[in-house]
Amino acid sequence: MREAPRRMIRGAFASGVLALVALLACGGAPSAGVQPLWERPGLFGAVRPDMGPPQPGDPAPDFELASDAGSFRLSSLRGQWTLLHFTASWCPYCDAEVAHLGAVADAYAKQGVRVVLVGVEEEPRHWKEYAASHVAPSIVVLDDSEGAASRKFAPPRAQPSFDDRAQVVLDSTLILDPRGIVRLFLFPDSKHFDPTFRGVRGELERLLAGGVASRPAEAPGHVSAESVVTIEARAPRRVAAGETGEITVVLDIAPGYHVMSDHPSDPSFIATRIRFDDAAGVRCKEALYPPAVAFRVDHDSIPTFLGKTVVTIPFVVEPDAGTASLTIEGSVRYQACTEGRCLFPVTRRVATTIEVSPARSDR
Amino acid sequence: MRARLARLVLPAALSAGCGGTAAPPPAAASSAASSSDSTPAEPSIAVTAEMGTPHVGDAAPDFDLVAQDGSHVKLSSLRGQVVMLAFVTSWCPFSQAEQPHLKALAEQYAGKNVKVVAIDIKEDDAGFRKYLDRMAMPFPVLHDTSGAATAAFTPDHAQPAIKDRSAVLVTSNIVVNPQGKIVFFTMVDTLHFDAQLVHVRHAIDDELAHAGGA
Repeated sequence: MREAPRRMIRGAFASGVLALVALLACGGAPSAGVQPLWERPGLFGAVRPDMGPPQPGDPAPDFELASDAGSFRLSSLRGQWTLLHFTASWCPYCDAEVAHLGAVADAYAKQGVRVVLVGVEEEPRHWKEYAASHVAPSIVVLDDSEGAASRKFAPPRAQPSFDDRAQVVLDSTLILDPRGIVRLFLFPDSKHFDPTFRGVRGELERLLAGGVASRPAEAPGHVSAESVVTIEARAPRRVAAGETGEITVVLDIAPGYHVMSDHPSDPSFIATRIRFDDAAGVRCKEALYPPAVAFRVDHDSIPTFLGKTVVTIPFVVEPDAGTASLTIEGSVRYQACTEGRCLFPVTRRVATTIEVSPARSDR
Repeated sequence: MRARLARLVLPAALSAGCGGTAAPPPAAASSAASSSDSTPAEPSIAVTAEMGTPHVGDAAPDFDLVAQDGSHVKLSSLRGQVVMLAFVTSWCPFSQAEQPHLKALAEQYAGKNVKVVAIDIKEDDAGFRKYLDRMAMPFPVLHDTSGAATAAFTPDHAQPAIKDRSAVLVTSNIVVNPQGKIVFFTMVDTLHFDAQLVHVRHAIDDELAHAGGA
């Protein structure tokens, strides 16, 4: 179970049953109508929803491990795209892939992608020697000799026959976005074994092209519809009676997330909707939205808002409005989604204050 | 009011939540998955003629290796029996997962003209011992110290990216018929792993039925 669905159940409008339906239908997986990752050539090893977490859309478990440069925490790479690969020196498939990992690191270094290699349950001295002779210097090399960090990544129902759960992630690769969210979790596929990371590279390029840029690190925390979209409403401090003004609402949408535009491509999608209530002497008009940003979801392009999105709400102060300090309240409705899954839609209240000054004709 | 809002919101949450056009039937995602304990429908990676020699239909390359009790086992001396060859190592998690099932398989076919033989690939004595120490195996586990006997079974074009040719066969399973011909040959399929050796058992059963009916 993940945090977001649990929040859904607590949500004011969702009954437990309906939330369960939503969970079953989505379950961390892309929907039908969109080809699941694991049906795409090169990605047949992508984690399946029924294996359990971590799934795409989940925050990567954090860990702290020894590296040559001292202790290293995975979450210290927040703000950057990260390729995380698990290996062991004795594993022939792993060894063949590690030989190509340096080329991957070099190919995407300019785009700010960091490559991290975790040695799973290796004797530390042996791992150090192996890394020194087999691993490209551009790669962050970590020693998980106890297997504790690797175990955190093992989905509970992947390789059910493996007693040592750390070994489940051997030779698997994850793409983490700048927020530390899993975007791809790929297990090795011996039937279509290709040590050059072709499938991973294709997916990484697709994600990088998706417009989610690297950004300064943010504090790790719990992901909710509220935490991935910050809302700020501003209004001119002073508006004269009989005049017009504009409320500005800034939605700051976290990297990796989008909300639907005010005109979604499908009527069933949740349109972003901002409405302000009339207050004593103030009439609020329809919100004016910025142009939509095309967001690619597999083969489709959908109109969304990304990053900082500014919406304006014009208002009129009645000529006979008395001078007063007024709080104007409104609501913001949206659904925040990553490429693979959505948090539950929310409606949040926002407010701002204006000072109504005497009508200009008085002057 | 609350109910109306829920009706309004949830269909949208479903379809939008899956980032696509139509909401999938709830069972679709899980039924297609491969992670359950159940046996995969396909028998791992079947070694085909395109992978090179040997493959199903070819004579099994002969070998003469030393077992855990010091005795020699020569494959050609096992003619007349159905031979199941399991390629193992102490370090491979797939081998580890298969080990109890390999033991069970040998017990199941005891007294049925089936000889189970494991070949430990290119490990030092400590590794070889480690495999045996995990559980006593009621059949010969042969120590292929150089990996040469194993490499003779490795089809030339199988897993070309793996340089150590004997390592390609880790967790491979072969069934050799009483005439010394390979009748079943699979390499480990990491995404559809048959830990319980169900497909190997089918192959052995087929061979026994064939021999019985002949």
